[in-house]
Amino acid sequence: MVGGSLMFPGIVRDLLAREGGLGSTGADPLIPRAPHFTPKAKRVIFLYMSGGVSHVDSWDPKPRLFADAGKTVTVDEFQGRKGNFTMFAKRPQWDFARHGRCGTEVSGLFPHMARCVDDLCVIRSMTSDHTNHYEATLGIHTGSFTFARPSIGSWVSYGLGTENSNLPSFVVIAPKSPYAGGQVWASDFLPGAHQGTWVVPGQEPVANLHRRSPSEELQALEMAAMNRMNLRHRAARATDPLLAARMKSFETAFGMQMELPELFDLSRETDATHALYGLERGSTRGFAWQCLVARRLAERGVRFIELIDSGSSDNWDAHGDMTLHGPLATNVDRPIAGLLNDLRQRGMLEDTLVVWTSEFGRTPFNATADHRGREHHHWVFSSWLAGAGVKAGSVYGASDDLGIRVATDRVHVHDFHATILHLLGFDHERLTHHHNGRDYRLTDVAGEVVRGVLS
Amino acid sequence: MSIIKTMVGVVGVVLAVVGVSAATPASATKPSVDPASHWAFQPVRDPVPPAVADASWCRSALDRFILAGLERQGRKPAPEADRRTWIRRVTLDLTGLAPSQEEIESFEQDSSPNAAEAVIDRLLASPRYGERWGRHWLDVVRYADTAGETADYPVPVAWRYRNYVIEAFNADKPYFEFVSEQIAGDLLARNGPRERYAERVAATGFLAISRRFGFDSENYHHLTLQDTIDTMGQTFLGLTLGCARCHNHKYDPVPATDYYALYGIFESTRFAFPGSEQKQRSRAMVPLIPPEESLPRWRDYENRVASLTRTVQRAGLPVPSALLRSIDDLDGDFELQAPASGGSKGVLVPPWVYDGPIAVTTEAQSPFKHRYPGGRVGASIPAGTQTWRLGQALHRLGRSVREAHRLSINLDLKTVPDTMVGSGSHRFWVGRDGGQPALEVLISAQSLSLRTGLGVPVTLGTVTPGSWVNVQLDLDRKARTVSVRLGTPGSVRSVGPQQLARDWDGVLDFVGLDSGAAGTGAGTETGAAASRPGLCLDNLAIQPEPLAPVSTEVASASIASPLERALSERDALERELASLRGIDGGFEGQKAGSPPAKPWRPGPNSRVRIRPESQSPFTGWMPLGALGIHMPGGPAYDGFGQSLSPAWKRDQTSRLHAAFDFRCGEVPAGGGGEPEGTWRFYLGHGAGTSAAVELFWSGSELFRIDGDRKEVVAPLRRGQWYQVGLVLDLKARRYEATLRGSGAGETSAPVVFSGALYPGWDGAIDDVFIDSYGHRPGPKPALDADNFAVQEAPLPIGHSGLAVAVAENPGAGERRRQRLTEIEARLKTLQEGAESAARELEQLLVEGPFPLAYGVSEGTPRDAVVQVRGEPDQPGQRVRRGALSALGLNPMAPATATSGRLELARWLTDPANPLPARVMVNRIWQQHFGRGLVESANDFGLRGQAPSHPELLDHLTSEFRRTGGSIKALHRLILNSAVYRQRSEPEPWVAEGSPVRPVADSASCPVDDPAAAGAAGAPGTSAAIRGNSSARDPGDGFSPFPRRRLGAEETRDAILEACGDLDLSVGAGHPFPSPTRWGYTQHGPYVASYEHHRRSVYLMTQRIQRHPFLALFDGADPNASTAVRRTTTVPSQALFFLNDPMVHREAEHLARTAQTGSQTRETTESDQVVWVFRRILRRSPEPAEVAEAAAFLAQYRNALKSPASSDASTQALSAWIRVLLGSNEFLTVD
Repeated sequence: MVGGSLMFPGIVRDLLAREGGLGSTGADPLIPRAPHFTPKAKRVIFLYMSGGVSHVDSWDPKPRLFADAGKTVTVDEFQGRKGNFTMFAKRPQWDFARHGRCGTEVSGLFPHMARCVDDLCVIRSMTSDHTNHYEATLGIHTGSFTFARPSIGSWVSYGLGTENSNLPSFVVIAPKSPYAGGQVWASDFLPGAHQGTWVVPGQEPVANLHRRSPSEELQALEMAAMNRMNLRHRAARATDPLLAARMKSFETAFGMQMELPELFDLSRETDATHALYGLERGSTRGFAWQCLVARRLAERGVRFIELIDSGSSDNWDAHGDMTLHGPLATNVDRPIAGLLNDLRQRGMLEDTLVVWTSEFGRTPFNATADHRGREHHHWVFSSWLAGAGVKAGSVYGASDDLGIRVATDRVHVHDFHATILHLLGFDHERLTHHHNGRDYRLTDVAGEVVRGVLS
Repeated sequence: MSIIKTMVGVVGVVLAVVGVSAATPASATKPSVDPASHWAFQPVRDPVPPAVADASWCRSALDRFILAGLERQGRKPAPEADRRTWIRRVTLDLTGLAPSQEEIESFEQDSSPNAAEAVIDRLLASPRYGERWGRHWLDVVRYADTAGETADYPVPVAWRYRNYVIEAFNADKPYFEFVSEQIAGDLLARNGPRERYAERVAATGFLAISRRFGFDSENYHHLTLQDTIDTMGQTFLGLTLGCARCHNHKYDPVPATDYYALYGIFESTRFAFPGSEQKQRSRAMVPLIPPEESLPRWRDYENRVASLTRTVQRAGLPVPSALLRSIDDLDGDFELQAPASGGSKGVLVPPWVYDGPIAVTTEAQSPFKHRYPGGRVGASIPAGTQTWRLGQALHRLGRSVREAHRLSINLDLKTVPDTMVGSGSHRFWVGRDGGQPALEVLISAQSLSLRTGLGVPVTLGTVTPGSWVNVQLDLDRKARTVSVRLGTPGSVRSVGPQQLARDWDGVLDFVGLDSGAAGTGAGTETGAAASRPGLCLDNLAIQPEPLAPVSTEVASASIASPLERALSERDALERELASLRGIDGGFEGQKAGSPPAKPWRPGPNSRVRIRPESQSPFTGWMPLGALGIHMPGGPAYDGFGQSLSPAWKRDQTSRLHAAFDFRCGEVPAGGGGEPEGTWRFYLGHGAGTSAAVELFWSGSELFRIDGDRKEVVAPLRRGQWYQVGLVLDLKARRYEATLRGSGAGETSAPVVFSGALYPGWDGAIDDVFIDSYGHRPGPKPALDADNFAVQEAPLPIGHSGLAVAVAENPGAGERRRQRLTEIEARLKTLQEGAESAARELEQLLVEGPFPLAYGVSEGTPRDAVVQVRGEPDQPGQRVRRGALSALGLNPMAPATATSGRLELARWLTDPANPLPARVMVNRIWQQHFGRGLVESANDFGLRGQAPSHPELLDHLTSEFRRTGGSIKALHRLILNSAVYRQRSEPEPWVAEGSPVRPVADSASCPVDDPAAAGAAGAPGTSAAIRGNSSARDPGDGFSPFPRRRLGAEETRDAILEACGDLDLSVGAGHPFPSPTRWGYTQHGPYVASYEHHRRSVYLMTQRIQRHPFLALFDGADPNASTAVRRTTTVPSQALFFLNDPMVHREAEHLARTAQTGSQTRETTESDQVVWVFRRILRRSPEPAEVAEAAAFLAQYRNALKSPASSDASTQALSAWIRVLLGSNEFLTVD
């Protein structure tokens, strides 16, 4: 774990309650807080596909793109350059079909998710500000495309605190570092307790989680000795609550060595659940493990759980060949469908917001007629929302005939964020933090709640 | 106001509104304070210390300000801390390291009245002081060792600025000088003492370390400048200027025009370029020596690099690609502006100023190599361009020009033929920026002319559209003349000397290329735009020394090195070697009894051996050797062969000659009556893929195969040597062959035969082998073979192929072997020389000709244009370069021919500017007391927090100024105070070891005072989250002294130091990969962490990926200015102390030292306990603690598998050490 924070509000709070050290507010950054109004969602599972998923090959059916494949199209910007460019429309790699009672069209890229469309609100009019991975990734996570700012997960943690004093409020499960690195989950100027805890699938998902002393008994002996030292030290310094907080943090850390492995231990999950996610028993590989762990974190009250499927390479960035979307889709498709079904079966979809997005889409056209990949495309792309407060089985917004620009109901990244915060009970204009002489917010100076996606 | 609502499902928890500022937009309203009366903008006063009731408590004037505040609250200061507490506090405070046990004891026993002062003086004189206090400055200026753009390029010389800061604190550099050097050190260096040149240039790292953005970071330079201005404002002025980028500052009196006045200063400044995904090499690093020294060394360096490059190239080794160029290398600078392949925009960037459709392209590369031999690109302007310009200020040449009054200018150009070509012309000029040119060269499609002043232009000569022409100008500034040479190699025309323009004022600070006469005031008409020809420009050079004549050859300025000359003979040596070896790969040089070495590949069964008995007697084309190759007979498949590279291709080569000698032996016994197997000779493409020709033989016959048909060519005799010569006509797809036998003294008539190459052959030949794959299976005879050849040159086969007895040619083989050995040794020497040259070249390319800094230099001075809403492509009005206009301060002196940084530095350090001194004094106070007199240390604006003790702030600021900005004097003032001597507990009632008194009874628990706290109610800025000085708020009046936990760097240093593993040497650069191999991208960014045992301030700090340890313990964010560190208490920190390998390693290190180290001489376990106790906690343990430790160790050992082993003792002692390292006592400062 790098830069992750495991702040357990219980420690400080208990001490404060018992010892009356400080006033109630402010002392504990993770104390549960009520949002501005009654929320629909209590937590978010944010599924982020790294590299730019092609919207016209997945969620945004474009019959014209099939019909007019190879025909020329003129655009005024290409890969960050302005000018008049003649491009060739490229046929999508996967065919589309209607699914579910709602009949939303989804391509064959995501056969399992397609069966969940009655739970989804697909947004086909997403738009971002930047054509580059780094900036667009920063944008979809922090609302800022240039300077580092707090991540959306940090803002949610800052706004809501945590329900479970034994777990961090914001957890990111990612096998690799994404574009823009740890800035994606950094709390930046918000208190460090709100930064995402990076869980890396594998043997030691959180740094220093494994006991290094020869046995539990011996470690307990060390802890007891340290406690005696600290109690003696504290005898003459009784007014300082942070000395006590630090003592308590050792106790919690000791406990965490037991509890966190339990959290990551999926052995008690049934075969049926494993099958639902498409997870091989004992495996920590792939998105299925991430999705199942996400459900367990959600059950235990973690506020914001982000899953990143890949890193800054070997991802959805299919410049060379669109068929490379295939294996990436296989990695996430069934696990995500499994997660949605699992949440619904457990009644958790009612108060959990599930978000699926990428940093941008991919060009419906190419510079040459026979090019097999697609380039970056931030003018329009697709995302979806599901669960708490979301108009299930719906489609919001549309791109133009070829999927090049937004045609109706534009949803900018700021609007997307405003809507997520709204579902959590926040007025995005009032969730602010004073820093460097002004009040900052996730949505900068823009953003409107997209009413059309709300149930 | 939001509704406070209980959340369903959360029980027993007090719910709070989301922060005060989140719920109440009050903070968003404009403050009613008039900026003109805002406290921070008022002049610094020198207030009289207030009267106090308990004057005896006060040790200094500052104490009276603090005490007066406490007395107003009806409080008393906390009692004085004991001597141990004080010396530990002050030592950690000033050096970041704990005092040694000896230092503590010596101070405890020192009863002299100035003992404390002596300690302070000793600590301030320690080099450790700068490492501690420099780190705070590095927090504020968001120091990092990487650039921060999408791939986070490493900056190998960034450390020079880090060390500059550390040294500045150690040297107690006057603060105003410190400020000035960081803004304008390069300019101050020019006119300052030589010995301070380097440090002043390095100081500008403050500007250079500004964050870079994007994958082509030069395209986002406006954001970098935003970061520069933002950080500069917070660092020196305590103002957040960034808001004014898009609009007038909402709260502080900073209009957008002020922002762009500053912007103009930094836009006129040249920032060293660290490299980025698009342009992966750094540029414009700043020399740490003055131009008059650096320019000649650059020339020597360029010559050395050129010579080494030629050597390395000639040796066929890869040439490293890193480029380091002199700042004055106009063409080289140009070269690096070219878009990388696949890059987005081939833009020009500052210091170039430019307008119009200028492209940097490979088509515009000049063929002339007398000045810049390594170029790849030039600039081009399309025909018919209306207006364009391209220019750059000349700075560093200025001094040289004045001293040596001659100046040479080189320009290569080509007009581009176009149907529209008419009489219009372009212009090339040098002279005064924005003023009068000294001379102008007018370039029309077919001629060049020279104009100086108002006179009629003098025709220089004609040019041919589409052909490159070289122009060289020799300026004599004393005589005010110019001579021109115009031409191509072998055809140069000279003109002049001509008088330079009469009304030119002698200033030469600009070189320009453009479409017309803008700014000349000379009423020049350069013709209609539509008739202007296209133009290519390259190799622009301006230099004090003469130019070499125009040439397409590399100038011979540098004499070829002996190695370089020797390398030119290498080809001949290699040819000779090849001919001596033949393609038999020098069997002669190989080892008898071994399988054949490279280039041969033995067959799968590897029974092939080199041996003397297999030497062929033929000397027809190769001298008689002593070794051949042998393959035993038998049924198993075997063979050997060689790949020939490069391949011969049918469409490139007409004839190919091949030869080999062979002799068959007996078939091994035990064949069981099977027919005898055969051998095959193969020549073709690939190892059997596409044969051109094959020959087969057994012991008794040579034959070939055509489909299923076998055709015997000649009978063979077992035990006799044969030589086969082949001539392949690749085009005609036929071959002719000769088979010659050599019996004992017997002459065989050669058998000549011919045939077609295989019809399926694909036209390439790159492989030859002999193997036992054959027409006939069965045990094959033993085989000897020798004298292989495949070559384009004819072989003398068939002419002198008679066997020559060894005796007839004595010594020939020996001579050949000797010559082979000689050549091989010579080639080895040359290769080693070339490799050493390659290493030297790499080192030169990485390090440059002299130390360089990541700093800034002067660019092309220009006023900036306001960017409407902060968008660079929405230009507004142009504003004069300057500083802030509306704080009621003196305006900044205008800059004209310079960026204005020097003027900005003067404005910042002007005694009339109250902000910089106040801001710095507050920072120093804050670092001593955990909280500033102004809590918002980076924001003294209207939205910042008001000072808790405004008079004290001004008192200290006045003192600070009186000492000329001595930070050490300020430390003394503060540290010698009674305030600093207070205990960190409020009352003296608790004795050591007393039971914990219920906190509820404590009277000292502070109460939030929202009025005093300002916006502090917002989550994140409240005192509690800010951390270890948590029991404090502005109402506490700085009493008692705040307890704090060690910071990130202190924690790591403390662990290393306590365990005897801290390396106190000064850090320098980091072990970055060589820049010649950089290829970082956003997909594969630079990520690294380099461990060492030096102090943590020397750890490599990355912008994008934080150092794991520093991030865990709340180190500074290297992305933005960190004025105050927040300290958090999180279990992951506890996990570090419990489980991190570093803690375990260090603890074990100390345990082993205690148990075995001769220095300790501690024998018993309790001695060891006492020793480690003193080492870590710097005190002797109480008897109870010794007993507790003994019990712990015994219990620990007993729980281990073999309690009696020495390893068990070490493990137990290590565990005890970890207990001490993790204790609050070790990690907190009272």
